[in-house]
Amino acid sequence: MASIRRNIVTDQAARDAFVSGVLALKAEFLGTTTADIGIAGPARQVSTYDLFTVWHHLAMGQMTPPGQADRNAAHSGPVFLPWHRLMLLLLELQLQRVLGDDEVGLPYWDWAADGALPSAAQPQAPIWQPDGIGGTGTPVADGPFGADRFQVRIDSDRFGRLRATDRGLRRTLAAGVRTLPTPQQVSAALRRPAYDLSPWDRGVAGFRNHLEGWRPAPPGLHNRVHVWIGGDMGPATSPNDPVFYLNHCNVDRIWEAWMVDRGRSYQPPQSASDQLRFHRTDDPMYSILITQPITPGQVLDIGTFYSYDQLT
Amino acid sequence: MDLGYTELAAASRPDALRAALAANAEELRHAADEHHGGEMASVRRASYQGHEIEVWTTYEITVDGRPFDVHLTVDNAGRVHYHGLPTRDFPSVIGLVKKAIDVFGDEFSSDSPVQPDERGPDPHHHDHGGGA
Ligand SMILES: [Cu+2]
Repeated sequence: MASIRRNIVTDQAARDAFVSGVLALKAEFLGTTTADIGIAGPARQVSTYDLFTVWHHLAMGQMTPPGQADRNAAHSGPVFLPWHRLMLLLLELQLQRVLGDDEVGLPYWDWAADGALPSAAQPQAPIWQPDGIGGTGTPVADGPFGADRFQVRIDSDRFGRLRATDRGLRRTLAAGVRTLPTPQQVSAALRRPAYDLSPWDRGVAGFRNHLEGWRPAPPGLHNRVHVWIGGDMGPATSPNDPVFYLNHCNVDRIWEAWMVDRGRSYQPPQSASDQLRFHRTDDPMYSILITQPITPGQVLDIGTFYSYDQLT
Repeated sequence: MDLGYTELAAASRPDALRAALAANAEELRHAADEHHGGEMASVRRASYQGHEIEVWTTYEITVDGRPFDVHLTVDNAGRVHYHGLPTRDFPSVIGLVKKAIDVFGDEFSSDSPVQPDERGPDPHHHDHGGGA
């Protein structure tokens, strides 16, 4: 069944389903332990939710090509948008499974709408209220992911390595940068005519780089949301905070709007150098949670799975 | 080739997820390893008027006298990127280290155990031959 992805701030049912599904996946253990993922110390069960965080961390450490540390198998290159589209789609299918409802859609958080508010009002916006996803704090004390019901069990140290932990979620809203991205910045990204440009890195002025946030004034759009939320949204284990998915769902929605406007085109083609492995249109994307190969080209038209209630 | 809903929904069932994890067991066992294998230099390359420019950069950073031995990369605009905070880049390495202290403060406290990584800058890691 195809789902409809809705705005978490205006759709209470979408918000409630997301919260219940995330908590169910945090409480599901399929047998993988911390020892299986190379973490020293006593072996502890890893939840289905946390497996997605591990996948994201692994993708970030998979340098493409090896021997440089800029572009990895999910970021700072063309595959940024299709890879996160795949990650979100697989999480959405997990939510549908644990909730027994194949019409459940991931909600999105339209952060640019909050970015239009005065800066002091941004950390007080509805999403950060207890009936949203809770507020700021180390640890977060209120809402559905407060420390009394939501534990971070795997995180990243200052060297970027996974380790076991057991603590509440951390957010430092508006401390890293004072303001969220604005609607004008989203419009400017949508006007970029090229999806991405050679040499396919953080320096080019294509749409992907604008939306990821390396251009024109870092941190922009997606990156700025990570930095503005802070805490667990900083390191490579950022999917630890469920808001990761709400941010990326909005990023995916903006990409969808760009494709509706400009056509479902992707760069680079398969004829590009094999230094771009994992980023070319027919390369299987990096995954540990699914065995069938899925390529960027296969996720450009995603209508069989979901659509957005509103694009812009 | 089209992606099918039924196929992907089936791949999301617990037995299929377990099978995918088993198929990737070797990859997973290295999930907690350090990423860059001690390769510490960053290289910038550019072509200009028929010339090939390469700029190699390494850093030796200490905090409270203890080595903070992380891989930093510098892009062609001179901005510095650090794997520990992947969604940011910085105009200055001092600013980057300050931010790392903000985020990972407890790991920098004087009573935190010395990490195996605090091995100090090692000239053997500055091998310019490997990689891209
Ligand atoms: Cu990511």
